[in-house]
Amino acid sequence: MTETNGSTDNGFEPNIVAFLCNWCSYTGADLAGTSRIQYPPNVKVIRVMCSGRVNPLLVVHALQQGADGVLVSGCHPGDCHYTQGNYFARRRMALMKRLLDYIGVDPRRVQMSWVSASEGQKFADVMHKVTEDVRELGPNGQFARGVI
Amino acid sequence: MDQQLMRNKARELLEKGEIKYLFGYERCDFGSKTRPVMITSTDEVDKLIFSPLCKNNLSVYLTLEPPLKKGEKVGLVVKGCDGRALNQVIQENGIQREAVVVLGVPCQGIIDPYRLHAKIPEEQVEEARVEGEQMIISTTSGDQTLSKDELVFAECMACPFPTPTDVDHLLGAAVQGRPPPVIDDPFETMSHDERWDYWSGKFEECVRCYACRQVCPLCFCEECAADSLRPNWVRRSVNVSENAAWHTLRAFHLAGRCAGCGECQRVCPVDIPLHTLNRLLGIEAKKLYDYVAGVDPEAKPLLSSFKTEDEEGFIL
Repeated sequence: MTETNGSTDNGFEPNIVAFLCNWCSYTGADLAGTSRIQYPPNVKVIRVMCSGRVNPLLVVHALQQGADGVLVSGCHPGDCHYTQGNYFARRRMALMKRLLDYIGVDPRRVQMSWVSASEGQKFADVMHKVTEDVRELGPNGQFARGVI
Repeated sequence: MDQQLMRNKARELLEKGEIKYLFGYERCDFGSKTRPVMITSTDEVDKLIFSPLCKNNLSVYLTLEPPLKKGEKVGLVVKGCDGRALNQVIQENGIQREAVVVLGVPCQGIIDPYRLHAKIPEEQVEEARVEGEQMIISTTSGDQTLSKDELVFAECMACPFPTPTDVDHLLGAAVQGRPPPVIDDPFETMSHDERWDYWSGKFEECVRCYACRQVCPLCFCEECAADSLRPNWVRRSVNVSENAAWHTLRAFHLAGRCAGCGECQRVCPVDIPLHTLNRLLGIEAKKLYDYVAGVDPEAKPLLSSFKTEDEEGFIL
């Protein structure tokens, strides 16, 4: 955890869950790796076959399980391996983000991005941005389950 | 509305054998309350009433009752919002349109019992009827005239569709919808922490009775995500985390489907303003995707359709 790109350093290391689609964003992450582009180690990647597979309840579930931030990333519109999965994901996440915003979850905790397989640099940038946003917000005390 | 019109129609349908039974409203044994009733024979038809005190959404019974044999039909009395809920269920193939004979009642607004009983004690109220913008409340000590806006539910004051559409028989003259008012949402000016303090306080009180789900005509899944063990979306424990997850789940699953009858909020034993969440998503669906639930039974459901030009300003 020696990453020092952050503008805010409050000693808090966020725990971020990223749902990456197999065909674009996950491959983009792979490219970031093979190109030796640094990105924060706070991100825990979960590979899914399509961003359309990400049930918005999984986002809530991640927040409950102790994630401080959640990212859902898929192919750019029109590039989906399954033609239209990311379009469905876009509608769902727009509404879920709005609902969470309304009950008091900062919209920066739940984010969505389009990263294609050739965008290793963009992947790293997105990870930096999400990590910094969540670091600024501090730990998620809202949905997290208490210690049983 | 003329009660006799509804009774005659119900009698006619039952006599002709067009419907097997009919869901409507009857008076309760106590005071002004009304309750849903299932009419199976012509002898019972005279029980049927409709007044601004009939608040239940009857379309829920279609999915609660065991399915009928092919060719058999059920009669159903619907108000504007109930009709929209029914349209939405039909749109999602929850029930077949051919299996229902819809008796539409143009609705002038439903009385909120809390607001009414704050003015007139419950045991004195006998009946209520609408005359223009006034409500005439019959009490044990004579009639009282009150303004409609003083009595009806907040949802009714902003009801855009008081007359049900796509009905088989419309009982009475159509009622004009009210223009949606400028909604003054107190949450918009609050910070996220203040919002969470408010909502987590409400969610904390939830006892997870699931009355909001049971009463909702759109919650007709055979297995609810809240009951599912594999995957276990929401644990059974009653605490802020699980309750918040349950309410998020419920509201989200009604996104672009809620017809706005407000039954969930009415039945909540701890008075969580559940309908506020549904209304928010309804407004967002209209704003972002120009979609209104339950007006077109032929339309594709909001979340199983998309446009390539959908809003994506929030995406990194």
